[in-house]
Parts: sequence; structure tokens; C-alpha cells
Amino acid sequence: MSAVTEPFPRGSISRFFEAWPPLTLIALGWIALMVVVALGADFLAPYSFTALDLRARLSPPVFMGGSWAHPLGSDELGRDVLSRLIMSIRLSLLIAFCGTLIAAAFGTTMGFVAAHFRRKVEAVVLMMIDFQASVPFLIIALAVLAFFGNSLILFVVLMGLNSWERYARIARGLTLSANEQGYAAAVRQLGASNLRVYGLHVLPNIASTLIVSMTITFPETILLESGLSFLGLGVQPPLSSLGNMVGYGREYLTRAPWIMLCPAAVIVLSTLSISIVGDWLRDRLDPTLR
Amino acid sequence: MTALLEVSDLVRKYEVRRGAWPFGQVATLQAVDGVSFRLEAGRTLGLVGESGCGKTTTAKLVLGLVPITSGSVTIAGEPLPPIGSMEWRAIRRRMQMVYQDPLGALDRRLSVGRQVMEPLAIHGIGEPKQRRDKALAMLDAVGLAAHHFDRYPHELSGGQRQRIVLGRALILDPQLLVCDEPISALDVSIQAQVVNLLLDLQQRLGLAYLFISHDLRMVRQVSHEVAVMYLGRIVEQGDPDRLFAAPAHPYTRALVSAIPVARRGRRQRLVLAGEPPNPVDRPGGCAFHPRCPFAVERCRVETPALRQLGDGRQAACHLAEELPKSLAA
Amino acid sequence: MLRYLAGRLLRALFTIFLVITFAFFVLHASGDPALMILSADAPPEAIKAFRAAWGLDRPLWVQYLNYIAHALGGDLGNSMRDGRPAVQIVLERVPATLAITLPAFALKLAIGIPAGIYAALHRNSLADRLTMMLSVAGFTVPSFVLALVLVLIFAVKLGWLPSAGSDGPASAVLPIVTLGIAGAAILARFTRSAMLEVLGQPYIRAASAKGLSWRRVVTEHALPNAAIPTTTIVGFMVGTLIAGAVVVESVFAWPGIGRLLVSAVANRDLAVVQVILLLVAATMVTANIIVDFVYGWIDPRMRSKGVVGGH
Repeated sequence: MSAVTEPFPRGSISRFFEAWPPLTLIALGWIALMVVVALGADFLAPYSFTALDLRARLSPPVFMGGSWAHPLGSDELGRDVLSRLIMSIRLSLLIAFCGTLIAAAFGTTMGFVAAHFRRKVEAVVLMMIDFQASVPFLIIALAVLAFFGNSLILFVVLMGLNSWERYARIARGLTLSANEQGYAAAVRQLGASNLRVYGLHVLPNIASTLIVSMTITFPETILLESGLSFLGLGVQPPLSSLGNMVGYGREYLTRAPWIMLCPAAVIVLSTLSISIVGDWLRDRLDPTLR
Repeated sequence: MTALLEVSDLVRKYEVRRGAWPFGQVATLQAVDGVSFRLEAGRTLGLVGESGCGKTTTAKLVLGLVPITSGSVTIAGEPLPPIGSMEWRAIRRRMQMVYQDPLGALDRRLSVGRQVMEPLAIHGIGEPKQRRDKALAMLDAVGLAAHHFDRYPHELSGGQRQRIVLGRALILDPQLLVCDEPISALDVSIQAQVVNLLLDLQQRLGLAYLFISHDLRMVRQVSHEVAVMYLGRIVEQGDPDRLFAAPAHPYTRALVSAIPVARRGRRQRLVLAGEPPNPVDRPGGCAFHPRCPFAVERCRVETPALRQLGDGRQAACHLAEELPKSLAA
Repeated sequence: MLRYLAGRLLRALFTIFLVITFAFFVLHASGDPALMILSADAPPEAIKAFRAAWGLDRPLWVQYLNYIAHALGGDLGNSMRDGRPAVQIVLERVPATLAITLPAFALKLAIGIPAGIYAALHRNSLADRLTMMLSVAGFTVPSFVLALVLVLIFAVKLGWLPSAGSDGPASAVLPIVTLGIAGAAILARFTRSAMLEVLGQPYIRAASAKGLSWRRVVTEHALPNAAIPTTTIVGFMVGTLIAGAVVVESVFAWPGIGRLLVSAVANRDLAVVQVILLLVAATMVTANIIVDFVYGWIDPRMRSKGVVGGH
């Protein structure tokens, strides 16, 4: 049989796209962009986010007839929407990131504690999990904000309590099965200390499940934070987050919809990207997971 | 000579609540109800019985994995240290366990070589280089090649995994190995290989085995002595060949008669009446009496003790001597 | 089965108890309850009377019992803003919230479940892919964005519907649609995966191998089994009706509980917040009990005698 030479090896390209579906690549690209923006916010923003430019109030973005001075338009005080958007991305991502980490750390620890000590301690933790799962977190968050007032630190901690019960349930379940008949019991039976069992064995094994959960919690936290900020109860001025930008833009919906649309689009694209990457990760890391 | 393992009147009780909280009364489950036996170095005691009879609990009690309610376990004359203590961790070197599910017993994220090495790291034995050498030697001893060292558990077959679990258990040079259904999860053709390996290791290293199984034929092959358990008690104990050829206790008869035999002619099957009972609802007197075809009034009232019969065997049955001798076809 | 339900009921009451306890501790942890509920510039006699009525100078556990007694009696303090009992204020707003959440709920069920079932039955078809793509919007697009976009299109650009307010049924359309779409998307996705899981079970293959028409296999075997997990999520949605309404009511200036909650939080009108918190918990817990009832009814495994005692 004569060998047919292809102009380029089709096989490897389609294989590449099998491992990295185009949609996932785009999603990863968007996330990378957001991270870059968040990290380099100070350098990237053309103006300070509080800089007023009263002569260019409510100017539309470039693609709607505006000028390059304000590529995404300006708001009612002449503040550059692009700059504010960049700063908001940074703050919102930071809050969501910290919140997710806190929830994961707290939840996993609680799960370990419940699975390790069992009986009374476990009953208490299960009660806490039940409570958290029985009232929508938005309501709990609002109640706490009502009682304690609003400070950024409190707010971040509050975001950190969103969905911790999910991690606790996962950690507890996986640890229980590891303890009962599994590798954790075996290693403990070999004489290993608890630190070794949890640190070297259980944690690495549940890490992939936890990471997938984080890709679900992260967008939820973004949505929670932006919702609360939109209502005026989250991030307070002069700080600017994606949520409160949408809140401000609401008043100018008729005259200058871009003030609201730009941050809204960023929210949607970001949560969408993380969900797509999360799905892909789940399939990649462990095909037996739902 | 003191036996390696001496178990005396071992009892383990669980408090169980019937039905969901807060309904249902609390009942006591006697998982293990007065078990006694001795095991010498280099010998194998086979423990058989149906699911729920307490054999796994006995194993865990012997190893000190589960707290003892009453009774005693002594290893080479010394009682078991409290669970979780430093002495307890040190004594792990003397006795180890092999599990039914080798895949579950291994950490799927670590290479099998590292897992075989791990006990050495836990107990601080030797330098890292020496540990690796020891692990490689152990792989060889259980019949695996050096290139298996870096493989992951899911890349090996069931039989190979069980060899790894064995290797990990043996690398500390224990004297006692508790094997809890070590071959029931394996293909039949592999079972024989693993059993041969166990026998071989016993000869070479002088290990004592507590071999737990519900597979009677396998137990007969490997054991020097067999104990049959029912609802937490030993009902018959003795030499495997004699026990299987002429079982004394009615329960053992039923078990033996159920072994499929590739022979012409029919063997008299002893079919038990009733369902396997709930361990929480223990029948009074002899626990077996509701299902026993030979039960008399005395069996309902008085719990039979494990006593010597003529030929070195022990049975816990009031009627052991009077029953017809054998059920052979 | 009665035992099972009684157990569930007990658990539900316990949860409500927990919520009340939570409210109590948060209330005390954040400052002096008298000042917080009455506001700092209330006349000193009013503060004194409040303290006496609520026993604020007694030990903590007495206060706790007092609190529970008050809560069960329906008295959780008066609203700071207009001095009327908080419970009354909240209950007044319930009809308005129900007016949009109930139709929205119906909408979610009517669109979500059939869409999910259809997508599952025609897996990987165009309809399936389309449903999946659109349903992603359910959990990536925040409700306020959806609401504002709908307002932008239908109220501002097209002028068909009012953008806010609560006069006349036309102004209810956008809120209902906003609430309904997001929920329908989530429900579609969930129903689809529940159906897919059931369809993958061996008994489905066995049923069609028996010779049953596909239609009968689906209606007699697949759907009833998929109904079980779907009931769970529907119950969950019922429980979160109020929470969902919070943002939507704020966007559309709809005078319901959600909007009340937002303004109460902004004004730190704690009596009102407490009442709403308890109301939400009660709704959630009731929804769970109803789901448990439905389970007991449709899942034959529940109906049979309880499990053999103990493990």
C-alpha cells in the first residue's frame, strides 16, 4: 500500500480538540483574561476609577458612536466605565476567591472532624449542615447584614460561609468510606498517626472532588456578591464591584444602558466560563463522578 | 509454651437503636459473645461462618482495632495496649491484616511501591534508600517484578493487588497475619495462586494466620485448625479433615452438606429451616435452636458450652454425641 | 410510614427551633436588643418597658425562653419605621409576593419539566443541545441581570410592558417571567439528568425487551421513577420562593416580602428581618415535609415496613 502523505497531520489536531474542547479553551481564555485584569488592574485602567470627567458625561461606548477616550463609555459623573469595570473585576474576583477558599477550608475541616470523631461531634456538625441547607443562604446573609451592619471583612467572611456545607458533606462522606473499609483504615492499622492519614492520604484523594465543588461555589459566590451589591447591601461606595456597578447603571437604563450592560456581561461570561471549565474538570479528573 | 495469640472469653457488644431516632428502643447486639481460642506461631486457624456471625469483628478485636467489651487478648503473653496509644502503634509491627477488597485497601493515588514502603516510613525503619531496597525485595517475595514498583493500584490485576497488600503487611516482619476473606474478591484461578503464596510465606517466615472465610473448601486446605462461628459464638472447633468428614454440630453439618460435590450419587442435604436470624434478636438457650432439625426442649433453655468431644474436637451442642455420625453419601 | 413522617415532623420542628435560636444569638451578639429593635432614639420609657416585657435584665437562658415564648405567640417586636407589629407588616405583603411567585412557579413547572423530559428522550438531538445551552443561563445569569435585560427590551425599547410598579396585571408580567425563566432553566436541566439516569437503568431495557411500546416504557416506568428526585428539587424550589423574589421584587419595585426584606436590612429594622427569617424557614420546612409526604406516597420503598432494626 502506498503511503498517502497528508499536508498536515489531521489526527493530532482532532485529538488535541478532543482533550481540549474549543468551548473549554475559550472559557479558559476568558478566565485567564479576567485574572490578568484583576492582577494588573492598576496598570491597565486608563483612568482612576473615581476620576470625574464632567464634560464627557454619559458618553456612549466606541461601538455605539462614542470616542476612544472612553472605550466603554462613561457614567453620569463622567467616570470611565472601562476603568471602573477593571477595578470591579478585581474586587469581585478577589471576594469570590477568598470566599470560596474560606468555604472550602472551613467545610472540609468540619467534614473531617465529623467523620473522625463521630457520635456527638458528628451530630452537632450534621445539625449545622442541616441548618445551613434549610434556609437559603441569601436570607441568612441578609439577616446577618441586618444585624451586624456592613464592613468589607464581615462581608468576605459571609461569602466564605456560602456553601461550606457542600464541602463538609463531601469531606465527611469520603472520609467515612475511607475510614470504614478503605485505605485510611489500612494505613491507620499500619500504625500511622492521624496527621499522616489525613494529610498524606485522605486529603489528596478527595482534592479533585473538592476542586470540582470549588468551580461550582465560585460562580455562586460571584452571583451572591453581585446580587447583594446590586441591592446596595454588599460592597459599599466608594469601592466598586460588578454588582454595584449594575446597581448604579439601573437608573440610567433608558439613557445609557452600557453602564449596566458592561458589568452584567462580565458577570455572565465569568460565571459561564467557570461552569464550563468545572464540567470539563469533572469529566477529566474522574469520569465516575456525576 | 505460650501461644502467640491467646483469646479468652472475648465479648463485644454494640448498642443499637431499632428504627429511626427518636423512636425504637435500644437493644444490645452481641457481635462476639464469649470466644476463646489459641494460636501458635506458624499455624493457621480458620474461622468460618455466615455473614454476620462475628468473624470480622473477632478479627478486629484480635488486632486491637475495636475496643473489647470484656475478655482478653494477649499477644505473646502481653495484653493488648489501649487503642491509639504509642504502644498500640508499636505493636502494629507484630500483627497485620489483609483485606477482602485489595483495591479499597490501597491508596489509588500512590504507586504500589511507595505503599509497600510506607510502613517502614511510619515506624522510622532504615534510610530511604534501604527502604526502597527492602520494598523491592518484598515485591520479589510476593511474586511480583521490580517494574511493578511504580505502577498504580488500578493498573494491576486483582491478584497482583492482593499481593501488594500482603507485601505491605509483611514488610514489618509481623508474627501474626489476620486474613479477612482475602481471596473472595478474586477470580477462581487467581485464588489458588494467592493461597499458595500464603502457604509458602507461612513456611518460610513462620507466620501465624487467622484465616477468615465463608469458603469452606479453601479453609480446609489452609488451616491447621478450624473454628465454626454462629451468632458470635464458636459452635465447633477442631481438625479440619475430621470436622468436615464428620461434623458434630448441626450447623456445621448443614454447612458441610451444602458444599457442592462433583460426584455421582446424592449426598444427604441438610436444609436449615427458617431465616438467618437478626443478631439483635438472639434466640434464648442455644442460639441455633430455631433452625436446628434436632432441637429438643433443653436446647431452648440452656446455652450449650463448647466442650471436648472424644477425638480432640470441641462442639457446643447438647446432642453432639447422640447425633448420627456422618452424612456422607 | 406514619413513624417515618412523625420522625420527619420532629426534625422539621427542630430545624425551626434552630432558626429561632440562630436569630436569638445573632440578635444578642450584635448589640443590645432593646436599642436595636426600638432604635437608639426611642424614648427611655419605651426602652424600659421593652426591657421589662422581654426580660432583658434576666439571665440569658431566661431571655431565650422568653424569646421563644414571644416568637410562638407571634410577637417579635414592632417595626422601627412605623411602630406596627412586625408580624402584621410582613403578613400584609405576603399576597403581593404570592401574586408573582405562584404563577412563576407554575411557569417553571410547565416549561422546565416537559423540556427536561423531551431533552432526555431525544438525547444529543438539536432540541437537547439547545435546551442544555439555554438552561445554562439558569445558573449563570443573575436574576437582576435577566430582569434588567427584559426591562430594556420589553419596556424601554419596545414599550409593551411597564418597567416597574404594581398597578395592573401588565406590570406583573415581567416579574413573573423573570422568576419563571431562571427556575425553568434549572428545572429543565435537572429533570433531564434525572430522566437520563433512570433511562440508563437495566430495568428500562428489560421493560422494552419484554415488548412494551416505548411510549409505555416511558410513561409506566421511566417517568414515575424520575419523579422521585424531581420532587425533591421542586420541593426545594418551593422553599426558596421568597429568596428568589428578593431581587426581582427590588428591580420591579414590587411591594412584596422580598422588597420589604431589602429595605428592612438597609434600615436595620430588625423586628421585620426576624419575622421574615422565620417565615422563610417555616416555608422551607413545610415544603420539605410536603415532599416527604409525597415521597411516602409515590415511593413504594417507603411504604413497606421499616428497615430491620439497627445495623
